[in-house]
Amino acid sequence: MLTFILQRRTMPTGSVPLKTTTTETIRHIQRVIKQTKTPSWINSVPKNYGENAAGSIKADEWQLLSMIFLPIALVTLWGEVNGKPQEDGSYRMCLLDHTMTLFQAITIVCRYSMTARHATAYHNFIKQWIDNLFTIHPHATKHSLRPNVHASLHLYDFLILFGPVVSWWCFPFERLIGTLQRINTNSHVGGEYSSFFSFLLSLLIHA
Amino acid sequence: MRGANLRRWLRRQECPELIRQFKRLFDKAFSKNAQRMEHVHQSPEPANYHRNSVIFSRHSTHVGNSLILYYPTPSSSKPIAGSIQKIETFGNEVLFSIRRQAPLPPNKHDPFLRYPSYPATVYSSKMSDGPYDRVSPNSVVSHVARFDFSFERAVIVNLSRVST
Repeated sequence: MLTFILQRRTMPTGSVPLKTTTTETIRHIQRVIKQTKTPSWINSVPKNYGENAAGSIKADEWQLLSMIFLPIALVTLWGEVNGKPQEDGSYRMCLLDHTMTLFQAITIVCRYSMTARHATAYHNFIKQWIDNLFTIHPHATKHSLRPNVHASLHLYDFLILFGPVVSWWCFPFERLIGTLQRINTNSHVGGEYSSFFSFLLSLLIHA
Repeated sequence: MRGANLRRWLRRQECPELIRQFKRLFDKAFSKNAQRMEHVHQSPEPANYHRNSVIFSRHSTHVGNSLILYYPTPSSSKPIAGSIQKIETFGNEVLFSIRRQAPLPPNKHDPFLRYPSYPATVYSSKMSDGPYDRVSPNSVVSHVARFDFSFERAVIVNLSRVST
């Protein structure tokens, strides 16, 4: 990993030596999604992942992809050659190590229990991922900086303050917003909301 | 939302008797009482077992729900992967007969060893020929995801979000 990073630093930042994702990679990911046996409580993800027809991937699908399907696909594809370990320092191995630091960070941060040791491990992984991002993916320097990457470092503080993310993330509210958006109003503003209130009532009853 | 509309429709006075009868039948089949009934296993070898809203199935019913990580004996220090072949009930006691996933032969490579914080282990893609382990549901750690790949290997991902 280190040799590759040192080599990359001597090269101009504008040059991208190899294509990261090929059609072969996408096909392999799709095969993993189709063939992996999972229990019924794991939601499905688009089997045509990577194609336009798959639509935009939602947060829950990203979580399953980055915790189950993508690590399996990328490690089995890039982590070895014909069943033998991939050469250390090769482009594929560095790409995989870098991507796996992110997936390991996600696996730790999505746990339902949290300890100071896990929070520190998450922080180390995410910092390592950010530190090597521009070296491994030089084209990323051409994009404007996004706040998500910066925010991911602050998650460490929140893990220490509030515990596991599952107890304070906003997905329940997002889901309620989604339900509200899907209410058929026939473009009428105002009017009768009794069905809406009966829906809220049913939520309270079932809560 | 559709459920709410239906409930509203049922409360109306002009709701047809036919729909009311359907609701009565529906409640009988899918009410909470009916779900509770599922725990009372009629058959001595049921296809599924429910625990804390998680369904464990035998291999012939649902492969994904049968794949688990479990402690084969009370003294085992490390859980292993296997597939539930049979669920047996003896009164209130439930026992899973589990066929072990065969371990990875020493001459084969585990590419996941490099990433210790990712909970995956490579096994052989074959199942063990040994006798089945018979364990109680309390010995089960969690469900797993399994993907069979090259050179007769299978990667097993621990889906537990709490175990270390």
